[in-house]
Amino acid sequence: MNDGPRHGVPAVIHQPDMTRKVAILAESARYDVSCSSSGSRAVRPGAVQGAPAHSGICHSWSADGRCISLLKILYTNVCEYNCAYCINRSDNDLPRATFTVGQLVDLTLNFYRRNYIEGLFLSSAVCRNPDWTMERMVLVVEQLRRVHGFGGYIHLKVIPGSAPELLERAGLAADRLSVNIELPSEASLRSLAPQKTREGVLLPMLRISERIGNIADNRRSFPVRTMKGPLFAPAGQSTQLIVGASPEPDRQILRLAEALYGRFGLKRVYYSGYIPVSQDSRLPALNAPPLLREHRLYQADWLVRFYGFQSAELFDDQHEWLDDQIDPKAAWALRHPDLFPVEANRASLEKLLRIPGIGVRSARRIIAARRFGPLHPEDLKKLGVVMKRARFFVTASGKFWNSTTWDPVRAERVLRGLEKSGTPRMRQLPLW
Amino acid sequence: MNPTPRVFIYENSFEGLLCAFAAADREELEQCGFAVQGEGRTWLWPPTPVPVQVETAVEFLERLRRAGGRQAVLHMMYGFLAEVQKAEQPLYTFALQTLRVGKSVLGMRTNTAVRQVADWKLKVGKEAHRMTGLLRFMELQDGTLYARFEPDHNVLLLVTSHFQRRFPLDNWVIHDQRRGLAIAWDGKNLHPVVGVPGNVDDLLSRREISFQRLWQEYVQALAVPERHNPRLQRRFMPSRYWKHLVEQIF
Repeated sequence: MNDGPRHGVPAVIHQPDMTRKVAILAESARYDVSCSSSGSRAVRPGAVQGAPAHSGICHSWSADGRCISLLKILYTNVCEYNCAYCINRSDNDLPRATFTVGQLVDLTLNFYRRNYIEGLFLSSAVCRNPDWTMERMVLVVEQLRRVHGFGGYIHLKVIPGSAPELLERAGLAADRLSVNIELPSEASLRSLAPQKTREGVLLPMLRISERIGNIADNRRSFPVRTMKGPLFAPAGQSTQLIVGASPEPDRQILRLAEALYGRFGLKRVYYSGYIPVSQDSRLPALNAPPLLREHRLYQADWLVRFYGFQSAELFDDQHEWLDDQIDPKAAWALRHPDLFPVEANRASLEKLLRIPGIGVRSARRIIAARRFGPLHPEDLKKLGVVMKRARFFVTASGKFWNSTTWDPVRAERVLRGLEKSGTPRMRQLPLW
Repeated sequence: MNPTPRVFIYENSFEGLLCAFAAADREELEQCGFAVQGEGRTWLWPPTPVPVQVETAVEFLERLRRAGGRQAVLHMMYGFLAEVQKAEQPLYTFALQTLRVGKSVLGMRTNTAVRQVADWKLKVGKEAHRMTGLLRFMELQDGTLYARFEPDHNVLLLVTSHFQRRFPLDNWVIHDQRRGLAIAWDGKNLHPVVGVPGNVDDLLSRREISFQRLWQEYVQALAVPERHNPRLQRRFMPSRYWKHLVEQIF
């Protein structure tokens, strides 16, 4: 077993055995949301084992229903910082552990070999100082790539405040980088994570996006296609922020996410519903994590990324929060009755995508199918449209589905569950 | 006078099925019956056995490819691998439609046969993709990686190319226990394997069990208790697949 170079770990920490260590450092890592292994086509020169799959692959699902794609784990949970929302904050009484570079490399390779994982998602608490921590993490990744020719997916968390050289090395070895923005506003960051700063987060983010952009430019200027520049974070960068630990409304959160997508070219913004891990008086007292709010934010995020919505369209001064009873698209549609009903046989892709109950796939199917002749309401169901919602907003050949009529007030009552859909249903005759 | 109802009997293979379709198409039939050879069913009218001829099958597939492209061919193949009862008539209708309208056949989801075939394609493709994640390899003493599974559809051939890319230099075996099929990669070529032992417990490498334990421990630790949601877990990972998952201990 390759143990790798032994680097100093704080002597006061008793080092538990490997099984215990894996459990401790997985428990400390589990509040990170991202586990995606998608977006990388990079076949790395010199890779002898492992290749990323562009679509990403889930290898298992934990008992909370979340996909396990990568070995999501911390290098260490020994932390200098004391961020109020974080389980690993320094004044929390928690078993602590630290890997060696060799242990983590060996664990990754052996899990990968058994097809348990698509690769590694390495993060860490800030032990000693940002540079020490970041360098340990980079060493793990470099050893995987260079010594073992590992071609699997690697997502590396960037420790804010670590040196630019380390960021450069990280980007050359990893598929995806991420810097956690943590909280939606500077004021909240100052209050809950006094040792972190807005610049500390945004600077590396900016540097990564410039660096990814630079590489793309270089490549374009090369005359021969085979002469590629070195890969820098080919699966891009992502970030995560905690919702429900601070007072910002959804409107502000989504505006922030939109800016991150637009200006920094982020691949994903992850929203993590705050789970009470501390009794700190600066934090709200919650009985359960705000899972519904988190879900609505993701729905709105999808509308921005795939459905051609601007975040500003989803809110106004009376609606700063997403509706908890109905999804953001239906809520938007109900506020714009003048735009409906839409006729499925004529509407453009953009218009179809704005109908509640119609997704990207069913919109494309409608466009493909209507070339063979006019669609009728019952055809929409066959194309995968969710008629429960779409029926109030869409017509086909001028007719609504199943004797629905144009009635936005009633539509809203039904969608909110205040009224039964109430169409005359055909009853099964009693057989006996 | 009505034509006599026709039933084509084919050998249960993709080539066999294609030959039956070619035979039906040659007689310009729209509706006819297809049945697998050796099922021992009795027929009112004498059925027509269709011999397997690889050239005929290839030729028919090539016609499909020219008309409907690679996607249409994949639809036929996945439709066959779905191993659904009475899939022949929808597949045949799909083939005829493809020859008639070309690539745009894939958009004709309002047509029942086309929709069925497209749904099989989706389902089989989805299971194959799922299996690229859910297969669990065990390391044997000689370093061979061995995985067994029991997929709903016959996806063994669809997952091998993924593992060729993933483990190009290793020796591995993937074993479909449900169908008694296995395929092996020796770092250069794929081989079919006959007579794989179902129980490999005695052959495991020294470290295998300890890594299985680490993985079990890891998966347990990763679940957030405040988000406990076993129903969601089962929706993504139905319990019929759990038998072969190292981390799911009953």
